[in-house]
Amino acid sequence: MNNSPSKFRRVITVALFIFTVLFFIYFVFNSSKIFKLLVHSAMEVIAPFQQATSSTFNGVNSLWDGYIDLVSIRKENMRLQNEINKIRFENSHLKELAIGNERFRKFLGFKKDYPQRLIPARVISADSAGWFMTVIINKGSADGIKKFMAVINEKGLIGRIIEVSFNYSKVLLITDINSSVPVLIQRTRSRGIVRGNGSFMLQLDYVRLNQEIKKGDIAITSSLGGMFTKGIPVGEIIDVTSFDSGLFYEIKINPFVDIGNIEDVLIVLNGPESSSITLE
Amino acid sequence: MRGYFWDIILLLGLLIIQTVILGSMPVKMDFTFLVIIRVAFYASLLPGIFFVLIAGWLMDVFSGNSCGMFMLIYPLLFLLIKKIDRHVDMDSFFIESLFALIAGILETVLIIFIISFFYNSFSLSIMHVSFFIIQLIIFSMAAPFFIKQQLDKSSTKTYVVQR
Repeated sequence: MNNSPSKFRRVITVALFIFTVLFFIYFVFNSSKIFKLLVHSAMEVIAPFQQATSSTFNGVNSLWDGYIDLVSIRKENMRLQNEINKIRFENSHLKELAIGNERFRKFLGFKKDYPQRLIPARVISADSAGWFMTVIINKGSADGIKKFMAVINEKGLIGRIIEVSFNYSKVLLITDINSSVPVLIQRTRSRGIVRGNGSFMLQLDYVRLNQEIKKGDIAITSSLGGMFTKGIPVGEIIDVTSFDSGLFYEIKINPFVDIGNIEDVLIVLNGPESSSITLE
Repeated sequence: MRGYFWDIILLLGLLIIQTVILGSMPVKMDFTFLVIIRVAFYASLLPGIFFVLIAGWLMDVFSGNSCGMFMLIYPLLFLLIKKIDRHVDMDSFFIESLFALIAGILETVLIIFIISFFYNSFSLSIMHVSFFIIQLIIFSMAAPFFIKQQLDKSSTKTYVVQR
């Protein structure tokens, strides 16, 4: 009888040891092929159930919405909203093209080209924990998706692909704490890094105090870092703070995309190497 | 073995619900942790550890973290619950809720600790605080239904062992 607590303690110690070792193995083999295969298999097995649940849930949801709302007004509203989003996206894109063209025509021979191949995908599930901001979409390597491809919608940048299995991919949203995106302020061409902090807002780092930044400025992706195509709208500056002792501004950005309500996305199949403006 | 089978189904079901249905809601809940509490009450140590490691790994696969956070937290809390449950009489809804609430708070504290350790840019926002308070309330209210069912099944066995 007296042995039981010490026995329990021994077993606990062994168990602690085992899972600590496993934890470190997890770290070491995180990028190994076998580990990736396990992760992808888990995604391939569970994601179809998520997709089926998502479709059912969305079906019931839209049926309910359709019943509650006046269908025609809702449709009209959606059409107009889509129109506004499309125009805003085009406007931002055209502005970017115009600024780029004007500047580059003066200096160097830059080639104008925006041959973006986009493929649509549907979000089937969100992050399991709630502390991180990722979603799983229903397109994978079978559709030509690769790691680090940009994910956008008609409003702007959503994130990038971080995990690809055969039929499904995991997208890291720009608001996640792991996310950092090199950006340009569209008006001033100042560079910075937009980071997620786990909330629905973004912070813009490394914009020097000698730059002229104001509320309402638009941040767009720069092709710096080789991950994103240049000119994708990211968000609007909503707060700029400067400190006498600091080198950089503290800037808050409101993303254009409603990160909490993403349903359909577009994946930019061709990377930044074929970005809108290519240096030759 | 049969118990584990149903717990795996329960775990996957809850994982799907919390990623699909709750995923579109502002408040996120870690209902899979309820399965960990449940398993901690009846599973023997090594199969239990194995089960919670798999559960933690699945949570890691379907979340955005790359550091194996749940693979660490779940076994830790499993061992802690296993150690404590010998000294707690789960005889009322209130006690079970309180137990789940404390376990949920511990889980949240561990998560915040690990995230803050690994990710410099993480800042605890009002959004986080509000969602984990709501999560803890709902979590503690739901927990007794999971624990109770298991205790009802194993209560006879528990008494035999005590005598």
